[in-house]
Amino acid sequence: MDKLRIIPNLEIKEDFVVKGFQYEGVRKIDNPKIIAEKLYKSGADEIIFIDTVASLYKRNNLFDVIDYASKNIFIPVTVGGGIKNLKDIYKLLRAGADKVCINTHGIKNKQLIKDASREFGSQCIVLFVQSKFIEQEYFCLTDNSRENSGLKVIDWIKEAEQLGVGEILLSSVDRDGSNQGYDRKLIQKACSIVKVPLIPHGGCGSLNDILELIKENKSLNAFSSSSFIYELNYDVKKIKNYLRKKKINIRYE
Amino acid sequence: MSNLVIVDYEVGNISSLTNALLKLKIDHIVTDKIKKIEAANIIILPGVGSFDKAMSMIKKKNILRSLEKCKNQNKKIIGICVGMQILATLGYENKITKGLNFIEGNVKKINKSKNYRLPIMNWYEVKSNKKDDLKINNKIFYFLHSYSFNCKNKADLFYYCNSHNTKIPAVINKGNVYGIQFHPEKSGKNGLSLLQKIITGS
Repeated sequence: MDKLRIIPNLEIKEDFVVKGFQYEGVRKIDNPKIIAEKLYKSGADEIIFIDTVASLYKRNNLFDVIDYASKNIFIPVTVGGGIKNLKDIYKLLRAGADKVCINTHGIKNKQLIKDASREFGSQCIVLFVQSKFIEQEYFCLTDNSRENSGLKVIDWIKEAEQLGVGEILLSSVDRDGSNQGYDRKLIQKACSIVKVPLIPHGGCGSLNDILELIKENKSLNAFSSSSFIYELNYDVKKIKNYLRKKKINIRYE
Repeated sequence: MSNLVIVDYEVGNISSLTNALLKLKIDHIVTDKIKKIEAANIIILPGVGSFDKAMSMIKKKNILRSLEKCKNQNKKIIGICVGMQILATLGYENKITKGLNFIEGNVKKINKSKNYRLPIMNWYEVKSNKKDDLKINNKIFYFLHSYSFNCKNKADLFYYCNSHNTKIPAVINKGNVYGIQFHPEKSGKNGLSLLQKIITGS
Protein backbone atom coordinates (compact mmCIF):
# COMPACT_ATOMS: atom_id res chain seq x y z
CA MET A 1 0.00 0.00 0.00
CA ASP A 2 0.99 3.61 -0.53
CA LYS A 3 2.26 5.77 2.26
CA LEU A 4 -0.22 7.90 4.17
CA ARG A 5 0.43 11.62 3.63
CA ILE A 6 -0.14 13.98 6.55
CA ILE A 7 -1.18 17.34 5.16
CA PRO A 8 -1.69 20.29 7.51
CA ASN A 9 -4.23 22.74 6.15
CA LEU A 10 -3.57 26.35 7.11
CA GLU A 11 -6.47 28.75 6.74
CA ILE A 12 -5.15 32.28 6.46
CA LYS A 13 -6.89 35.59 7.00
CA GLU A 14 -4.81 38.66 6.26
CA ASP A 15 -1.46 37.95 7.97
CA PHE A 16 -2.53 35.18 10.33
CA VAL A 17 -3.34 31.54 10.38
CA VAL A 18 -6.83 31.43 11.82
CA LYS A 19 -9.22 28.74 12.97
CA GLY A 20 -12.96 28.89 13.44
CA PHE A 21 -15.86 26.57 14.03
CA GLN A 22 -17.67 25.57 10.82
CA TYR A 23 -15.55 28.20 9.08
CA GLU A 24 -16.97 30.98 11.26
CA GLY A 25 -15.92 32.98 14.33
CA VAL A 26 -12.24 32.68 13.62
CA ARG A 27 -9.50 33.15 16.18
CA LYS A 28 -5.89 34.00 15.40
CA ILE A 29 -3.38 31.18 15.75
CA ASP A 30 0.04 32.46 14.64
CA ASN A 31 2.19 33.68 11.76
CA PRO A 32 1.88 31.31 8.77
CA LYS A 33 5.60 31.33 8.03
CA ILE A 34 6.52 30.27 11.56
CA ILE A 35 3.90 27.52 11.57
CA ALA A 36 4.86 26.26 8.12
CA GLU A 37 8.51 25.99 9.03
CA LYS A 38 7.71 24.03 12.20
CA LEU A 39 5.47 21.70 10.21
CA TYR A 40 8.16 21.09 7.60
CA LYS A 41 10.76 20.33 10.24
CA SER A 42 8.50 17.97 12.15
CA GLY A 43 7.76 15.85 9.08
CA ALA A 44 4.64 17.19 7.34
CA ASP A 45 4.39 15.54 3.92
CA GLU A 46 2.76 18.50 2.18
CA ILE A 47 1.20 21.81 3.26
CA ILE A 48 -1.98 23.53 2.11
CA PHE A 49 -2.43 27.31 2.43
CA ILE A 50 -5.89 28.73 1.91
CA ASP A 51 -6.65 32.44 1.82
CA THR A 52 -10.07 32.36 3.45
CA VAL A 53 -11.06 35.88 2.48
CA ALA A 54 -9.73 35.86 -1.09
CA SER A 55 -13.12 35.31 -2.71
CA LEU A 56 -14.53 38.15 -0.66
CA TYR A 57 -11.73 40.62 -1.49
CA LYS A 58 -11.40 39.19 -5.01
CA ARG A 59 -7.68 38.51 -4.75
CA ASN A 60 -5.31 35.97 -3.31
CA ASN A 61 -3.10 37.50 -0.69
CA LEU A 62 -0.66 34.68 -0.14
CA PHE A 63 2.23 35.60 -2.45
CA ASP A 64 4.46 36.57 0.45
CA VAL A 65 3.77 33.27 2.24
CA ILE A 66 4.33 31.25 -0.95
CA ASP A 67 7.59 33.03 -1.61
CA TYR A 68 8.77 32.26 1.91
CA ALA A 69 7.63 28.64 1.66
CA SER A 70 9.35 28.01 -1.64
CA LYS A 71 12.64 29.31 -0.22
CA ASN A 72 12.51 27.42 3.07
CA ILE A 73 10.13 24.49 2.85
CA PHE A 74 11.13 21.78 0.44
CA ILE A 75 7.92 19.78 0.36
CA PRO A 76 4.89 20.24 -1.92
CA VAL A 77 2.76 23.30 -1.31
CA THR A 78 -0.86 23.70 -2.39
CA VAL A 79 -2.43 27.16 -2.46
CA GLY A 80 -6.08 28.10 -2.64
CA GLY A 81 -8.46 31.00 -2.27
CA GLY A 82 -10.15 33.18 -4.85
CA ILE A 83 -8.62 31.56 -7.93
CA LYS A 84 -10.81 32.61 -10.84
CA ASN A 85 -8.84 32.22 -14.07
CA LEU A 86 -5.77 30.66 -15.70
CA LYS A 87 -3.74 33.81 -15.08
CA ASP A 88 -4.29 33.49 -11.32
CA ILE A 89 -3.06 29.90 -11.46
CA TYR A 90 -0.05 30.80 -13.56
CA LYS A 91 0.93 33.52 -11.09
CA LEU A 92 0.63 31.22 -8.05
CA LEU A 93 2.59 28.40 -9.69
CA ARG A 94 5.22 30.83 -10.88
CA ALA A 95 5.50 32.20 -7.34
CA GLY A 96 6.30 28.74 -6.02
CA ALA A 97 3.05 26.84 -5.45
CA ASP A 98 3.12 23.23 -6.68
CA LYS A 99 -0.63 22.80 -6.83
CA VAL A 100 -3.63 25.08 -6.59
CA CYS A 101 -6.99 24.25 -5.09
CA ILE A 102 -10.20 25.63 -6.50
CA ASN A 103 -13.71 25.77 -5.06
CA THR A 104 -15.99 28.75 -5.76
CA HIS A 105 -14.92 29.68 -9.28
CA GLY A 106 -14.72 26.03 -10.35
CA ILE A 107 -18.40 25.65 -9.51
CA LYS A 108 -19.38 28.96 -11.09
CA ASN A 109 -17.32 28.30 -14.20
CA LYS A 110 -16.70 24.60 -14.79
CA GLN A 111 -14.68 25.33 -17.91
CA LEU A 112 -11.99 26.73 -15.58
CA ILE A 113 -11.33 23.24 -14.16
CA LYS A 114 -11.14 21.76 -17.64
CA ASP A 115 -8.87 24.45 -19.07
CA ALA A 116 -6.62 24.51 -16.00
CA SER A 117 -6.11 20.73 -16.01
CA ARG A 118 -5.29 20.81 -19.68
CA GLU A 119 -2.96 23.81 -19.45
CA PHE A 120 -1.03 22.95 -16.27
CA GLY A 121 -1.66 19.20 -15.96
CA SER A 122 -4.19 17.43 -13.74
CA GLN A 123 -1.54 16.80 -11.12
CA CYS A 124 -1.52 20.44 -10.04
CA ILE A 125 -5.26 21.10 -10.01
CA VAL A 126 -6.94 20.20 -6.71
CA LEU A 127 -10.70 20.44 -6.27
CA PHE A 128 -11.63 21.95 -2.90
CA VAL A 129 -15.06 20.78 -1.74
CA GLN A 130 -16.76 22.31 1.29
CA SER A 131 -19.50 19.86 2.16
CA LYS A 132 -22.56 20.61 4.29
CA PHE A 133 -25.24 18.14 5.26
CA ILE A 134 -28.64 19.70 4.49
CA GLU A 135 -31.92 17.78 4.47
CA GLN A 136 -30.30 14.33 4.21
CA GLU A 137 -27.90 15.31 1.40
CA TYR A 138 -24.32 16.58 1.20
CA PHE A 139 -24.13 19.87 -0.71
CA CYS A 140 -21.16 21.91 -1.95
CA LEU A 141 -20.79 25.34 -0.40
CA THR A 142 -18.90 28.20 -2.03
CA ASP A 143 -17.43 31.55 -0.94
CA ASN A 144 -15.72 30.05 2.10
CA SER A 145 -18.92 28.22 3.06
CA ARG A 146 -21.21 31.26 2.97
CA GLU A 147 -23.28 30.14 -0.04
CA ASN A 148 -24.96 26.87 -0.98
CA SER A 149 -24.27 26.08 -4.64
CA GLY A 150 -27.08 23.52 -4.74
CA LEU A 151 -24.64 20.99 -6.23
CA LYS A 152 -24.50 17.59 -4.52
CA VAL A 153 -21.01 16.63 -3.34
CA ILE A 154 -20.92 13.23 -5.02
CA ASP A 155 -22.22 14.58 -8.33
CA TRP A 156 -19.68 17.38 -8.35
CA ILE A 157 -16.76 15.09 -7.51
CA LYS A 158 -17.68 12.79 -10.40
CA GLU A 159 -18.08 15.68 -12.80
CA ALA A 160 -14.87 17.41 -11.73
CA GLU A 161 -12.92 14.19 -12.27
CA GLN A 162 -14.24 14.12 -15.81
CA LEU A 163 -13.18 17.73 -16.21
CA GLY A 164 -9.67 16.74 -15.18
CA VAL A 165 -8.91 17.50 -11.51
CA GLY A 166 -6.02 15.47 -10.12
CA GLU A 167 -6.91 15.44 -6.44
CA ILE A 168 -9.80 16.31 -4.13
CA LEU A 169 -9.66 18.11 -0.80
CA LEU A 170 -12.94 17.19 0.85
CA SER A 171 -13.76 19.32 3.87
CA SER A 172 -16.76 18.79 6.10
CA VAL A 173 -18.12 22.18 7.11
CA ASP A 174 -20.33 20.46 9.71
CA ARG A 175 -17.29 19.02 11.47
CA ASP A 176 -14.83 21.85 10.84
CA GLY A 177 -13.15 22.92 14.08
CA SER A 178 -15.40 20.61 16.12
CA ASN A 179 -12.80 17.96 17.13
CA GLN A 180 -15.67 15.42 16.91
CA GLY A 181 -13.92 13.23 14.38
CA TYR A 182 -14.09 13.06 10.60
CA ASP A 183 -17.48 12.75 8.91
CA ARG A 184 -17.05 9.06 8.21
CA LYS A 185 -20.25 8.67 6.25
CA LEU A 186 -19.30 11.47 3.88
CA ILE A 187 -15.77 10.15 3.41
CA GLN A 188 -16.86 6.57 2.83
CA LYS A 189 -19.36 7.74 0.27
CA ALA A 190 -16.72 9.79 -1.54
CA CYS A 191 -14.08 7.03 -1.34
CA SER A 192 -16.45 4.56 -2.96
CA ILE A 193 -16.72 6.62 -6.15
CA VAL A 194 -13.57 8.72 -6.37
CA LYS A 195 -10.81 7.79 -8.82
CA VAL A 196 -8.14 10.40 -7.98
CA PRO A 197 -6.47 10.85 -4.57
CA LEU A 198 -8.80 12.18 -1.87
CA ILE A 199 -7.77 14.28 1.13
CA PRO A 200 -10.39 14.22 3.91
CA HIS A 201 -10.52 17.24 6.18
CA GLY A 202 -12.59 18.54 9.05
CA GLY A 203 -13.23 17.34 12.57
CA CYS A 204 -10.08 15.44 13.48
CA GLY A 205 -9.86 15.50 17.27
CA SER A 206 -7.63 12.58 18.21
CA LEU A 207 -5.05 10.12 16.94
CA ASN A 208 -7.70 7.45 17.02
CA ASP A 209 -9.88 9.47 14.62
CA ILE A 210 -7.09 9.21 12.06
CA LEU A 211 -6.57 5.51 12.60
CA GLU A 212 -10.27 4.71 12.24
CA LEU A 213 -10.47 6.74 9.07
CA ILE A 214 -7.57 4.90 7.47
CA LYS A 215 -8.77 1.47 8.51
CA GLU A 216 -12.21 2.11 7.05
CA ASN A 217 -10.95 3.42 3.73
CA LYS A 218 -8.14 1.34 2.30
CA SER A 219 -7.69 3.54 -0.73
CA LEU A 220 -6.92 6.69 1.26
CA ASN A 221 -3.33 7.83 0.98
CA ALA A 222 -3.71 11.21 2.67
CA PHE A 223 -5.58 13.15 5.30
CA SER A 224 -5.64 16.75 6.37
CA SER A 225 -6.13 18.51 9.67
CA SER A 226 -5.69 21.96 11.09
CA SER A 227 -6.88 22.46 14.69
CA PHE A 228 -5.74 19.03 15.87
CA ILE A 229 -2.23 19.72 14.57
CA TYR A 230 -2.25 23.15 16.25
CA GLU A 231 -3.16 21.45 19.52
CA LEU A 232 -0.14 19.20 19.10
CA ASN A 233 1.94 22.36 18.86
CA TYR A 234 2.58 21.66 15.13
CA ASP A 235 4.43 18.46 16.01
CA VAL A 236 3.54 16.15 13.13
CA LYS A 237 6.04 13.63 14.46
CA LYS A 238 3.66 12.80 17.33
CA ILE A 239 1.11 11.62 14.76
CA LYS A 240 3.76 9.74 12.82
CA ASN A 241 5.09 7.96 15.90
CA TYR A 242 1.58 6.80 16.73
CA LEU A 243 0.73 5.65 13.20
CA ARG A 244 4.02 3.86 12.87
CA LYS A 245 3.30 1.88 16.03
CA LYS A 246 -0.05 0.95 14.49
CA LYS A 247 1.79 -0.36 11.42
CA ILE A 248 0.52 2.33 9.08
CA ASN A 249 2.88 3.01 6.17
CA ILE A 250 4.15 6.56 6.54
CA ARG A 251 7.20 8.57 5.51
CA TYR A 252 9.62 8.38 8.39
CA GLU A 253 13.15 9.66 8.30
CA MET B 1 29.19 33.56 -15.57
CA SER B 2 27.23 30.58 -14.46
CA ASN B 3 27.64 27.32 -16.30
CA LEU B 4 24.40 25.76 -15.13
CA VAL B 5 21.19 26.67 -16.92
CA ILE B 6 17.61 25.81 -16.16
CA VAL B 7 15.69 25.81 -19.42
CA ASP B 8 12.57 27.96 -19.12
CA TYR B 9 9.51 26.64 -20.97
CA GLU B 10 7.31 29.30 -19.39
CA VAL B 11 4.84 27.12 -17.56
CA GLY B 12 4.56 25.80 -14.03
CA ASN B 13 6.70 26.16 -10.98
CA ILE B 14 10.39 26.77 -11.58
CA SER B 15 10.99 28.79 -8.43
CA SER B 16 10.99 25.69 -6.22
CA LEU B 17 13.95 24.42 -8.19
CA THR B 18 15.79 27.74 -8.28
CA ASN B 19 15.23 28.16 -4.54
CA ALA B 20 16.58 24.67 -3.88
CA LEU B 21 19.72 25.58 -5.84
CA LEU B 22 20.00 28.88 -3.95
CA LYS B 23 19.82 26.95 -0.70
CA LEU B 24 22.63 24.71 -1.97
CA LYS B 25 24.61 27.79 -3.11
CA ILE B 26 24.79 26.45 -6.66
CA ASP B 27 25.02 29.25 -9.25
CA HIS B 28 22.52 29.00 -12.05
CA ILE B 29 20.52 30.97 -14.55
CA VAL B 30 17.01 30.46 -15.86
CA THR B 31 16.86 31.07 -19.57
CA ASP B 32 15.33 30.24 -22.94
CA LYS B 33 18.17 31.87 -24.91
CA ILE B 34 19.99 29.67 -27.41
CA LYS B 35 23.41 31.23 -26.75
CA LYS B 36 23.19 30.79 -23.00
CA ILE B 37 22.02 27.20 -23.28
CA GLU B 38 24.84 26.35 -25.68
CA ALA B 39 27.40 28.02 -23.43
CA ALA B 40 26.38 25.98 -20.38
CA ASN B 41 28.11 22.88 -19.05
CA ILE B 42 25.09 21.57 -17.19
CA ILE B 43 21.54 21.82 -18.49
CA ILE B 44 18.47 21.19 -16.36
CA LEU B 45 15.11 20.51 -17.99
CA PRO B 46 12.64 21.21 -15.18
CA GLY B 47 9.40 19.40 -14.41
CA VAL B 48 6.50 21.39 -15.69
CA GLY B 49 3.30 20.84 -17.69
CA SER B 50 2.64 17.99 -20.08
CA PHE B 51 4.88 16.11 -22.54
CA ASP B 52 3.28 17.60 -25.66
CA LYS B 53 3.22 21.11 -24.23
CA ALA B 54 6.88 20.93 -23.15
CA MET B 55 7.99 19.69 -26.58
CA SER B 56 5.95 22.30 -28.41
CA MET B 57 7.50 25.05 -26.28
CA ILE B 58 10.99 23.70 -26.99
CA LYS B 59 10.25 23.80 -30.71
CA LYS B 60 8.60 27.20 -30.54
CA LYS B 61 11.65 28.65 -28.81
CA ASN B 62 13.99 27.01 -31.36
CA ILE B 63 16.06 25.33 -28.66
CA LEU B 64 15.69 21.73 -29.86
CA ARG B 65 18.94 21.88 -31.86
CA SER B 66 20.79 23.53 -28.98
CA LEU B 67 19.81 20.70 -26.67
CA GLU B 68 20.92 18.14 -29.23
CA LYS B 69 24.21 19.98 -29.62
CA CYS B 70 24.77 19.93 -25.85
CA LYS B 71 24.00 16.23 -25.75
CA ASN B 72 26.43 15.50 -28.60
CA GLN B 73 29.12 17.47 -26.76
CA ASN B 74 28.56 15.11 -23.84
CA LYS B 75 27.40 17.88 -21.49
CA LYS B 76 25.50 16.89 -18.41
CA ILE B 77 21.75 17.04 -19.00
CA ILE B 78 19.34 16.53 -16.11
CA GLY B 79 15.61 16.18 -16.76
CA ILE B 80 13.17 16.41 -13.85
CA CYS B 81 9.63 14.98 -14.00
CA VAL B 82 8.27 16.08 -17.40
CA GLY B 83 11.81 17.21 -18.18
CA MET B 84 12.81 13.57 -17.65
CA GLN B 85 9.94 12.23 -19.70
CA ILE B 86 10.76 14.31 -22.79
CA LEU B 87 14.17 12.63 -22.92
CA ALA B 88 12.22 9.70 -24.43
CA THR B 89 11.68 8.73 -28.06
CA LEU B 90 7.89 9.10 -27.92
CA GLY B 91 5.29 10.45 -25.49
CA TYR B 92 1.61 9.50 -25.37
CA GLU B 93 0.23 12.31 -23.18
CA ASN B 94 -2.73 14.10 -24.86
CA LYS B 95 -1.37 13.02 -28.27
CA ILE B 96 1.60 11.09 -29.63
CA THR B 97 4.59 13.44 -29.64
CA LYS B 98 8.23 12.91 -30.55
CA GLY B 99 10.59 13.52 -27.65
CA LEU B 100 14.29 14.39 -27.57
CA ASN B 101 15.27 10.71 -27.89
CA PHE B 102 18.30 11.14 -25.60
CA ILE B 103 17.32 7.94 -23.77
CA GLU B 104 15.37 5.44 -25.85
CA GLY B 105 11.92 4.58 -24.59
CA ASN B 106 8.34 5.75 -24.50
CA VAL B 107 6.20 7.52 -21.93
CA LYS B 108 2.75 6.05 -21.35
CA LYS B 109 -0.01 6.40 -18.80
CA ILE B 110 0.35 4.12 -15.78
CA ASN B 111 -2.21 1.29 -15.70
CA LYS B 112 -4.95 1.61 -13.10
CA SER B 113 -4.99 -0.95 -10.32
CA LYS B 114 -7.07 -1.69 -7.24
CA ASN B 115 -6.62 0.62 -4.24
CA TYR B 116 -4.20 2.82 -6.17
CA ARG B 117 -5.13 6.25 -7.46
CA LEU B 118 -3.80 8.30 -10.32
CA PRO B 119 -2.07 10.72 -10.47
CA ILE B 120 0.66 9.29 -8.28
CA MET B 121 1.12 11.93 -5.57
CA ASN B 122 3.18 10.45 -2.86
CA TRP B 123 6.47 9.65 -1.22
CA TYR B 124 8.25 6.44 -2.23
CA GLU B 125 11.50 4.69 -1.37
CA VAL B 126 13.66 4.30 -4.42
CA LYS B 127 15.60 1.10 -5.12
CA SER B 128 18.82 0.79 -7.01
CA ASN B 129 18.67 -1.23 -10.25
CA LYS B 130 22.44 -1.41 -10.58
CA LYS B 131 25.16 0.25 -8.53
CA ASP B 132 23.98 2.79 -5.95
CA ASP B 133 26.21 5.51 -7.39
CA LEU B 134 23.94 8.36 -6.30
CA LYS B 135 23.72 6.99 -2.74
CA ILE B 136 19.93 7.16 -2.62
CA ASN B 137 19.05 3.48 -2.27
CA ASN B 138 16.00 3.17 0.06
CA LYS B 139 15.73 6.95 0.45
CA ILE B 140 12.31 8.57 0.13
CA PHE B 141 11.30 11.11 -2.53
CA TYR B 142 8.14 12.88 -3.68
CA PHE B 143 6.51 11.71 -6.92
CA LEU B 144 3.78 13.58 -8.78
CA HIS B 145 2.79 12.13 -12.17
CA SER B 146 0.42 9.90 -14.15
CA TYR B 147 2.76 8.84 -16.94
CA SER B 148 5.90 6.77 -16.66
CA PHE B 149 9.04 6.20 -18.69
CA ASN B 150 9.51 2.72 -20.17
CA CYS B 151 13.20 2.35 -21.03
CA LYS B 152 13.92 0.39 -24.18
CA ASN B 153 17.28 -0.72 -22.76
CA LYS B 154 17.10 -2.13 -19.26
CA ALA B 155 20.62 -0.87 -18.59
CA ASP B 156 19.33 2.72 -18.67
CA LEU B 157 17.14 2.16 -15.60
CA PHE B 158 19.12 3.46 -12.62
CA TYR B 159 16.58 3.50 -9.75
CA TYR B 160 12.90 2.57 -9.49
CA CYS B 161 10.12 2.57 -6.92
CA ASN B 162 7.28 0.13 -6.34
CA SER B 163 3.73 1.36 -6.79
CA HIS B 164 0.58 0.47 -8.72
CA ASN B 165 1.76 -3.16 -8.65
CA THR B 166 4.68 -2.33 -10.90
CA LYS B 167 8.17 -0.88 -10.96
CA ILE B 168 8.01 2.84 -11.69
CA PRO B 169 11.29 4.23 -13.08
CA ALA B 170 12.62 6.83 -10.64
CA VAL B 171 16.01 7.73 -12.14
CA ILE B 172 17.23 6.84 -15.63
CA ASN B 173 20.70 7.42 -16.99
CA LYS B 174 22.60 7.03 -20.21
CA GLY B 175 26.08 8.55 -20.52
CA ASN B 176 25.85 12.06 -19.19
CA VAL B 177 22.07 12.29 -19.49
CA TYR B 178 20.04 11.83 -16.30
CA GLY B 179 16.29 11.72 -15.87
CA ILE B 180 14.62 12.05 -12.46
CA GLN B 181 10.93 11.22 -12.30
CA PHE B 182 10.34 12.53 -8.77
CA HIS B 183 10.80 16.10 -7.54
CA PRO B 184 14.12 16.42 -5.68
CA GLU B 185 13.32 20.10 -5.03
CA LYS B 186 10.22 18.97 -3.11
CA SER B 187 11.69 15.98 -1.29
CA GLY B 188 13.11 17.60 1.83
CA LYS B 189 16.75 17.01 2.75
CA ASN B 190 17.06 13.83 0.66
CA GLY B 191 16.13 15.78 -2.44
CA LEU B 192 18.57 18.60 -1.74
CA SER B 193 21.44 16.12 -1.21
CA LEU B 194 20.61 14.37 -4.47
CA LEU B 195 20.60 17.65 -6.42
CA GLN B 196 23.97 18.50 -4.93
CA LYS B 197 25.34 15.07 -5.79
CA ILE B 198 24.05 14.89 -9.34
CA ILE B 199 25.10 18.47 -10.22
CA THR B 200 28.46 18.69 -8.52
CA GLY B 201 29.31 15.00 -8.35
CA SER B 202 30.00 15.20 -4.61
